[in-house]
Amino acid sequence: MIFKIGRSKSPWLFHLNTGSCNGCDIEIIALFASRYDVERLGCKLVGSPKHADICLVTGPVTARSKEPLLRIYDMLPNPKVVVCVGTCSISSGVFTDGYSIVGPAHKLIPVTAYVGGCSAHPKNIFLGLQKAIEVFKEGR
Amino acid sequence: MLPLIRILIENIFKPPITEEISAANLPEHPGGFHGYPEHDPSRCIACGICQYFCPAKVIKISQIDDKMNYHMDLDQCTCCGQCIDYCPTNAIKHRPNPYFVATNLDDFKVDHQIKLIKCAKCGAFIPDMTLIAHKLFGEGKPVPKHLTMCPKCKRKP
Ligand code: SF4
Ligand code: SF4
Repeated sequence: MIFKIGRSKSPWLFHLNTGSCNGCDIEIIALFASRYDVERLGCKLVGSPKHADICLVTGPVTARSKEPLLRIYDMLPNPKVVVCVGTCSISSGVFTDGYSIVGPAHKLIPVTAYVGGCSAHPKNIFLGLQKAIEVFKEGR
Repeated sequence: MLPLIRILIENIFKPPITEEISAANLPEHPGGFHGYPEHDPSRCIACGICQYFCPAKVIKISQIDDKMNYHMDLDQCTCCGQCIDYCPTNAIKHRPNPYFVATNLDDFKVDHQIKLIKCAKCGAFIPDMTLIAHKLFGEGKPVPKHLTMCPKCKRKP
């Protein structure tokens, strides 16, 4: 019960880049800057997946980053939520069927929310985070 | 020292000065923002120019009997605006609410049916060129005869 409340009041985020162009990564940083400031929600960007509740995935999954993605997904403590940020991570976008692309993230790991846009707008990443926090509130 | 303690005690009873965070009081998207394209089937003539210019293979147009099926996979769209720039009838516009969030990938799919008309001579299905004719010759003018025929009948003497 205490864990459930704590998780929904202060979800910690881990940001994972699986080969994106850095556009969405910069928007995630903008989300933590003064204009949008999701630290008001208790969100905090952490450096280790073992401390995180929500994983923000950006980029089409390249062949090189497939193994780290699966390992980091295993490292996240249960219950874990994955939010795909940006067109690339939803469907590989313009890189679809590229020689080094092993498919969008939802083919490899379960994904809860998809945030569209190239690159995703901080406001929409915020809405995606809200969907992820609802999952913690319901205690799934 | 004493004034500081007074301020500290006062602060316990003051409400927080941070704003409540919710989607409603976040800053608005600026005007002219490149959002997802919105397709208007009533203005579209299924010419396929947008399909040709789209760099991400978002738009797929295929014929089903007497209708054209206009399919968009918005989950692949990079919001570049090429389709909007090149559409001859301004059937596509940027969405007022630029991007959206979904928990299901099917929410990103768009399917529209576009009606075709029959060729005046042989009865084959061809796109309705009325909007193009209005653009070329002015509103309310009659559609010239060669625009109501299929390419095969046009070439016949
Ligand atoms: S370019 Fe415009 S009129 Fe032509 S198929 Fe695309 S939306 Fe329709
Ligand atoms: S905005 Fe660009 S990527 Fe999206 S449908 Fe139009 S041409 Fe394709």
